[in-house]
Amino acid sequence: MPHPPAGASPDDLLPLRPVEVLILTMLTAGDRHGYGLRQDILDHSHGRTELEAGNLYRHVRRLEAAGCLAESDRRPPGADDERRIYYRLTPFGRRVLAAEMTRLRSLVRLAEERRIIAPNRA
Amino acid sequence: MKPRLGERVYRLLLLVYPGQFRRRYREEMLAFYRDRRAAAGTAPAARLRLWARLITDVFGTAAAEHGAGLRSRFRRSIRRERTMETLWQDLRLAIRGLLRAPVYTTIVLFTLALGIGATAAIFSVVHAVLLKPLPYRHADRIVVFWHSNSSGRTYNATSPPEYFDLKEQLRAFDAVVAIRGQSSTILGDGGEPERLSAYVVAPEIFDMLGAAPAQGRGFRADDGLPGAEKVILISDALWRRRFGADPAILSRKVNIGGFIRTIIGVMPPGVSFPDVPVGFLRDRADFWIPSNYESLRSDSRGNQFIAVLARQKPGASELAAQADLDLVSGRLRAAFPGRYGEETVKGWRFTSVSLRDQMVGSVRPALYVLAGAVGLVLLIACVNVANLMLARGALRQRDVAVRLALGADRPRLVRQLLTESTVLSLAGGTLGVLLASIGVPLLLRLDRGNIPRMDGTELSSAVLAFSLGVSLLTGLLVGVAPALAQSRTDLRGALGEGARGASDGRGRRRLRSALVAAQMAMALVILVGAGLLGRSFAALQRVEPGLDPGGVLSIKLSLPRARYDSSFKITAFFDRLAAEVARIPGVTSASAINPLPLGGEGWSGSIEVEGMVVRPGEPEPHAEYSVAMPGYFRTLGIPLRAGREFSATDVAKAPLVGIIDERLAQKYWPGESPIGKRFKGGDDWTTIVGVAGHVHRAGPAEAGEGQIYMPLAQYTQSAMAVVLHTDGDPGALAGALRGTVRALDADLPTSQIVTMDDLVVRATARQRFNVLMLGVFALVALGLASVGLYGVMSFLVTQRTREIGIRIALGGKPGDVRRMVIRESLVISVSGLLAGGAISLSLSRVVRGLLFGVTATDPPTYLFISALLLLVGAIAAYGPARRATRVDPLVALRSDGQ
Repeated sequence: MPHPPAGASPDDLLPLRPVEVLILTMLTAGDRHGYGLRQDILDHSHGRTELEAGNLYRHVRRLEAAGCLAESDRRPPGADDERRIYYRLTPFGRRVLAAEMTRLRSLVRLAEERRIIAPNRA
Repeated sequence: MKPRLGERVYRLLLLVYPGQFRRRYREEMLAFYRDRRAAAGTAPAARLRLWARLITDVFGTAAAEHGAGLRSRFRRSIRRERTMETLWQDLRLAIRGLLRAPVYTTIVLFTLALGIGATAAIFSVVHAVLLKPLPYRHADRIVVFWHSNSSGRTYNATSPPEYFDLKEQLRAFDAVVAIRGQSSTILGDGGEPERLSAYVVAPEIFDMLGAAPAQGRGFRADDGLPGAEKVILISDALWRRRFGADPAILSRKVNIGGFIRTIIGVMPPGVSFPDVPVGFLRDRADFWIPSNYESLRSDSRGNQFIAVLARQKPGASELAAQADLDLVSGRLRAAFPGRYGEETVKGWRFTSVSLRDQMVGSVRPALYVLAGAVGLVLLIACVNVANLMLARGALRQRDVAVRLALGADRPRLVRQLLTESTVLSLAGGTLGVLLASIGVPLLLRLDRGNIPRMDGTELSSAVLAFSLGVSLLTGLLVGVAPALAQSRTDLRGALGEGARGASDGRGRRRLRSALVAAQMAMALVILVGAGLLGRSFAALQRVEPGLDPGGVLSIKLSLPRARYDSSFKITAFFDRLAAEVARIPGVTSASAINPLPLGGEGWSGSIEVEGMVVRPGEPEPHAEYSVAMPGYFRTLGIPLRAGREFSATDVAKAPLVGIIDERLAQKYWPGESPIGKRFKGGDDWTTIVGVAGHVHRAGPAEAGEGQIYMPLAQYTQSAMAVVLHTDGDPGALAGALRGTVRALDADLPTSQIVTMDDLVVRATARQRFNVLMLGVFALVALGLASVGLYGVMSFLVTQRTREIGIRIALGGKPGDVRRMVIRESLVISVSGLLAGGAISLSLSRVVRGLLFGVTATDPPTYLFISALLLLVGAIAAYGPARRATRVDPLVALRSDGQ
C-alpha cells in the first residue's frame, strides 16, 4: 500500500482538484465504496456533480498514490457488498484536506473583504 | 451466471485503460457499472444517455490515464526511451506500409470516413435534440399538466379556476405557473409592423424554469399587477433582429398592439420558451408579458385557454407527484361531478408530462431508428474493412511468418497490426468528421425546422469526443480479428506452402463468409426499414386532402383589438379586403378562413345535436370548428355535396347558419339529409344549410373529426387567413396581395404569406426527412454490402485457382465451375437474408409508430428487398465466377498463387 513519502508536507499536494476535495470530504463521514462516493457527491452537490466510474477511480488512484486514502479493512454496518473495496481517509489525507480547506477559507475571506460576496455572519 | 450484454460491452471498453489501472480497478468499476445501470432504469432514453456518458467517461479518462502513465515514465527515463521508441517505430512502420499500398489505403479510408462521418452527423442531431440539456437549470423537474380520461382523449388547455386549484392545492410541487399565447403586433419603433409571438406568463416562470435575463432584470412578483408599469422581457433573437442588438435597449418603450410597454430585459440566446411546441403552445416566443392571472379568476371551468406548468420539489418522485395530482383531481371530481365526474367523463384526471418528453418525445422513435440505421451502416463498413485487412494479411502471411521465424514476439506483432488499424481508423475518423461538417448543414436544410431543437445541431466537443471514441473502437473492431489471425500464422504451413501459394485456412475462409453474410443481414434490415418508410410516404402522397391546393395563396392576418373593437368593424374590414383581393388581376376568387387548413392550428369543441340523447358515460358529439367567409369552398376547391355556400345574406341579424362536412353528416344524421337540421355550439340553435367534403385539416396522416363551418358575419373573429385562387402561379401574386392589405391598413403585418402547395409539402416534411435519410443510408448499405460480397467472392476464387484448375483439367465444364461459384455466393446471401429477415421482424415494433398505410411486416416489402439483395448478390458473384471459368489449368497448377 502506498504511503506518503517520508517528510511529505500536505502543502505539496495543494491545490486539490474539485473532485478530490469532494472525495476526501465524503470520506470524513465514514468509509465508502466507489458507487457510494458517487451517490454522496451527487446528493451534496444537489445533482450537479455526477461522476462516472472512470473519472472517479482516476482520482481515487491519484489520491491513493499520494497516500491520502487507502483501502479499508473494516466494513461499515449494513454494507451492501462485502467483497467491494471500501476506502478510508488516512491521517495524512485528513491533514491534506484541512490544508486545502484552510487555503479555500483564506480565499473566501479575501472575496468577502473585496465585497465580491457578502460576509457570512453565522 | 453469464453477465448481461451491457456488462460485457463495458468490460471490453475497459480494455482501453492502461493495464495497471485496469487490473487494480476493473472489478470495482464493473460493480459501479451494475449499480449505475440498476439506478438508470430500463427506459431506452435513460439507457442511451447512460451509455453516452459511460463512453465519454471511459475514453476521456483512459486518455488522461495513459497521459499520466507516459508522464511518470518520462521521469523514469530509461524505460521511457524503449516504450516511446517502440511506439514510434510501430507508427512509422504502419504509415510506411500504408503508403506503399495506396489503393488499399484509399479504399479503407473512404469506407471508414463514410461510416464514421454518417455516424457523427446523426449523433450530432441526436445529441442536439435528445441528449443536450435544455437551456433551463431546473428542466428535469418541470412538468406540463394535461387533462386525460379513459377514452384516451387528452388536452392541455386549462381554465383559470383549474389553474388556481392546482396552484393552491398541489404539495409535491414548489411552483405552479400559467402561460398563454397572445400574438401581438409591434409597431411605432420605426420598423415595419410585424406580428410577433408573445406569451402572457406568471411572473415567476423564469425563476421556476431556471433562466435569468442576459441583460436587465427578470420579472418581479408585482409585475403584471393592475396599475403597475406595463413591462416585457424580450428574446435574444428579437433583440438582434428587430432592434439590431441595440446596447441601449433597456427601458425602451414600444407599442405592442396599441399599448405602450417598457422593455426591462433580454433573455439569453437559446431561451425562447416555449422553444419548441409544448402542447397547444406552438410558436417560439419573441417576448413575454407578466400577469398574475388574478383578473381571470372566475367560475367558468369550460373556458380552457391557458397551459399550466409546474416544478416538482427537489427529490420528489414521479409517483409522489402523480399521487398529489390524483388527490387534487379527486377533490375536483367530488366538487364538480357535472364537469369531471364519472357520469360526464369517464376517468377524468390531471396527468403530468415532463418538459423534455413534451418537447422532443414525438421525434424520439424516428431518431432512434435513424441512429440504429447509421450504426448498422458503420458496422457494414467495418466488415468491409476487416475483410480487406484479412485479405491483405493473407498476402503478407509469408512476410509475417519470416519475421516470426526470425524471433519477433507475437504480442509485439499484434500491437503493430493494431497500430496500423488504429492509424487507419483515426485518419478515417478525421475525414469522417470533415464529411459530417459538410453533411450537417445539408441535414438542417433538408429538415427545414421540422424537428424540434434540431437547429442547435453542431459538431460540438461532445460530438468530436464521440467520433474519437467511435474511431478508436472501429480501429479495434476491424483490427483485432485480422491481427490475431495473422499472429497465429502457422510457421511450417506458411513457409512450406509458400512456394505453392499461401492459401487461406478453412477457418479463416468461413470467418470471411460469415462476415459477409452478417453484412447482408444488416443491409436487409436497413433496406426493409427504408422500404417501409418509402411505402408509407407514397401512401401519404396518395391521400386526398379534400381540397385542391393548386393556385391557392394565403395570408394570415390578426386585427389589433384596440382599433377593431366591434364585430361590425372586423367583418367590414374582411369583406372589403376579400372584395379588393378578388379584383387583383389573375385572381379567380377570394375568401377567408380560420384556422387555415394545414396551417398547424386546431380548434374543436363539443356540440349538441337536436333530437339526440347522449347517454351517461358516452362521449358528447364533438367536431372541428372553422369560421369562413362566402366563397371559401369554391376558392379552396372543396366540393359541396348538398345545400349552399355561405352568402352575403348570412349577416349577424339573420338566423344562425352553418355548413357541416360529410363525415359529421354521416355520424350524426346517418341516412338522412342534414339540410335544415339543427345543432348547438353555443347558446343558440344553428341551422345546417350545406354539406361540404371532408378536409384533412392537420395533414394527410390525420383524417380528423367531422367539421363545422360558421360564417364570419355571425361568429366574428379578429384573426383570419385570407385566401385567393388563381389560374397562374400563386407565388407571383404575393406582392399584389401584400399591397392590397397595406392599402387598407398600413399597420398590419404581412409577413405570413404562404402558398397552399407549400403547406402541403410542410405537412409531410417530417416523413420526407425520415424517408430521405433512411433511403440514403440504405443505398450506402447496399453499395457497401455488394462491394463486400464481390470482394470476398473474388478472393475465394483467387484462393481456389489451383482447385478450379484441377477440376477443369479433369474435365469439369466451365458452366459447372460458374454454377459452383454462384451457388457458394447464394449460400452466403441466403443465410444473411434469413438472419436479416428474422432481425427485421423482431424490430418491427420499433418502426410501427412511423408507418402510415402499411404494416411493419408488409410482405411485399420484405419479398422485394430480399429479391433485390439476391440479385445484387448474384451480380457481385458473376464477375468472379466468369473469371473462374477462364482459369488455365496449366497456369493454375504452376501458379504460386500471387
